[in-house]
Amino acid sequence: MTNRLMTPFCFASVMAAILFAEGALADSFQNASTASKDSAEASARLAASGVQVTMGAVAVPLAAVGAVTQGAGEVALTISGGLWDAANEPLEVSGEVLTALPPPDLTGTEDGEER
Amino acid sequence: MLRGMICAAFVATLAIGGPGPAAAQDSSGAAAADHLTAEEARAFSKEIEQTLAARGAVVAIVFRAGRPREDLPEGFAYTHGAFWVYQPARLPDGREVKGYAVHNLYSGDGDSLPVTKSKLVQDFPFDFAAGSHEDDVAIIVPTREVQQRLYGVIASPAYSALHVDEYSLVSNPADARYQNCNEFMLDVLAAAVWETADYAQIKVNLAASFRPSRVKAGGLKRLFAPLMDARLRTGDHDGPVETVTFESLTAFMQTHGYAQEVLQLETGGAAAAFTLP
Repeated sequence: MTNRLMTPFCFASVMAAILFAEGALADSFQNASTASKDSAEASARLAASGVQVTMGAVAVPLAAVGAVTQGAGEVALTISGGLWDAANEPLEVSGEVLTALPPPDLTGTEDGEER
Repeated sequence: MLRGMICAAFVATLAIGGPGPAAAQDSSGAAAADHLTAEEARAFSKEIEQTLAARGAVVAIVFRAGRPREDLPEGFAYTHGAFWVYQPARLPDGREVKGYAVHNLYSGDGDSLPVTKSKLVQDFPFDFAAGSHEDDVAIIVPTREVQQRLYGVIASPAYSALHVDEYSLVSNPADARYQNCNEFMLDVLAAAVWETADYAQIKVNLAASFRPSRVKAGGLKRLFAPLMDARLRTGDHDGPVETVTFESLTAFMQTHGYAQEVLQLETGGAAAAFTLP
């Protein structure tokens, strides 16, 4: 009896799940394909838009800005430098617009292979 | 039989359709959301930077809506958050420019990394703004003391040690199994304020003192959720699905005196103080 009642629900539920899951999963696939095509697409779009951006900029490592040490299980907070000296003073922001470069695609390229 | 099937399909449709927990968080690294044009994203990223710089913020927490707000569960205004750190950048021509770098946790793209995994990525304000599906972001400016402590953690090996690469859209902040972008930020904040890199201790502390946001999800939604998005993993929840959001992080930081200012910034507009409902 229980099985007879559950059968139509299970069947319809799975069908509905498949139908809706397709839409939801498409979002993930779209994200994936967007991510893999980011470099070329983003570059082309930015070039077409006329927006001046700088690719290939590298943030200066924080460790080079302030000295930080870590002991066993403890984070020692010994930031040095003038970063914190002027408390709450406005900071300078340059006009350059930076964007991150995605990692180069090296799939299918083995060591020693001609590139 | 047919009536039963139609009825059951309707119930299942209600259970699966609509904004569900799948949209609760989204640490997707897919950059362009196609909501803002490149020029709008450029301008908006500079507005965010200027807003932070005007307040002398060396470290801030910024949130964007990585999905249209109408698709988000009730009570969830933003999906992705990241640390913005005042950090010089070196250009390819050797010049050094001043501004912010953005420190993110991104879920895998399903191509180079499975969607159920995550990685720590540093990019820039333009990349962050380009991923917004709405015309606004939310900003938490920590107190000076907390900024200094956050900076210390972000700059130390503890930062990457706090990363759990098993990703869930609705990770439980009291459980160490899964993590998403917002839980990672909470963990970094916890390391900073408790001055510890002991992850087990951090989870115990947060379980006792942090009140996460509850995701309204019926039993059927929970049942079918894994079919919707592989990143929706709920094995770390014993009861209701509760996770870290902008709202719960803000409440935690304000309650304990960690936040100096909470703002909402719209494209082309001035920053306005944000008050939790």
